[in-house]
Amino acid sequence: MQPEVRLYLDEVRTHLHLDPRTERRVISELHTHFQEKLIDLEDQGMPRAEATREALSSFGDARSIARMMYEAYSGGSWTEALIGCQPHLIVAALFATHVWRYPLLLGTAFAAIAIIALLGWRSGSPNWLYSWVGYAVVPLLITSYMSMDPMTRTVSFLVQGVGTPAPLWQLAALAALFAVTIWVLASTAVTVARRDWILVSLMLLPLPVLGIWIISVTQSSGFFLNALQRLEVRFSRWDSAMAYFCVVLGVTTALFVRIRQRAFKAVALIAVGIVGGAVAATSIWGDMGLFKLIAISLCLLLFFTIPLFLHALVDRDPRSETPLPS
Amino acid sequence: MAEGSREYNPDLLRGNTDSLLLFLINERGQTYGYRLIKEIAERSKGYFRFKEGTVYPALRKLENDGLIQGEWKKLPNGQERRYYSMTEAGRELLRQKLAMWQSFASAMALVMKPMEL
Repeated sequence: MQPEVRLYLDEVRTHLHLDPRTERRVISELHTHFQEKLIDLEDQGMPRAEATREALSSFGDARSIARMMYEAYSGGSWTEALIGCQPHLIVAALFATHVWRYPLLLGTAFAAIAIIALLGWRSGSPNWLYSWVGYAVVPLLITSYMSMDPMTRTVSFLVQGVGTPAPLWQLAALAALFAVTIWVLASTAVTVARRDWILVSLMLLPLPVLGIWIISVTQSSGFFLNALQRLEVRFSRWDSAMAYFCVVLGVTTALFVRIRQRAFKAVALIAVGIVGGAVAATSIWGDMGLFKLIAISLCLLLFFTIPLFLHALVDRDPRSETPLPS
Repeated sequence: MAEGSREYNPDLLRGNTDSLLLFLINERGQTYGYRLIKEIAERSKGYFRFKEGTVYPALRKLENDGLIQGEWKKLPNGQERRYYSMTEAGRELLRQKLAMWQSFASAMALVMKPMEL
């Protein structure tokens, strides 16, 4: 194949942001088009170089074609939208029924979410997958956060000479847990960012609010039932707010799956993420004043746009590479 | 034909691309993107000019709407080509569009007769 055509198809592929299987199909169809067009033009007596230029110029700008292709292919079905919003609704139900305080039920719910995310991942990353992946990493984050006590005690002993340091085996286990958490998060984010940074933002969508909530819960008391009984009233109020918030995330995710335009998808995610995070911070930490609210909003904006920079840094997903004849 | 008469508003074509594609797919029974592009160019004697790449998203949208269906077929050279054929919904919509177009074109022709200058 002519190098110019290959470069053109590479540029289309770079801007497609579709799942690897669909990208392969799209590029394959365009490749067949170019082959036939070049043969026709050469049959008309056009030299190969001129035929290539003519074929490329009559096809249109690679970015525009990729954008049109994205809009044609990216809109998920209502079924996909419904499946995509399920993890948010499951977590909303955990909050609404206060079931999250029971380790066995909480563990079962998140294990189910992780299994479905894994199955979706292995079946070619369908449109509905990414909200499931976001929640699948939550248990690792929570476990890491809640296991920080040995490290805090050791740091406190080393810096201030207060208390006793944690045993070495605990610190080693903690380091291993942190390493696994960072590795899972980083490798998942990089793999998804190879396809599309917006999908990483979709994955991250519930994390800021869950983060604010978990910090508040653990600082107020402990995580599970016994430690929380004395804070029943206060947590019931938070539970309702968290349930509503998760429902809003569910609706946003369903819209995300259905909407075809990338710009609308990005704006919807970032707006809901920032407003949701700011509202959660205000309702859980109380009135913070305008300056702190703006600072939190800016941090959230940065959090949801970091995947954009990640996408610019990582290479393309090798699974979408089509072996084109040379 | 005067040069000016070969110009047209691109929006007119954009609004009718679906009808052209449906008509040709229906006539051919089963056909593919490049063949459709060539056929539009040949039948309009080069009058319709559009970026060829825009046909593929248009085909995909017709497929999403259930008006046509696509099927991959392996070519003798090992490559694959996507063939499109009509669905019943597509045929029904084409019937409606053709009837509407014929009424519209007849009415336009009755009102707008070529001017004698």
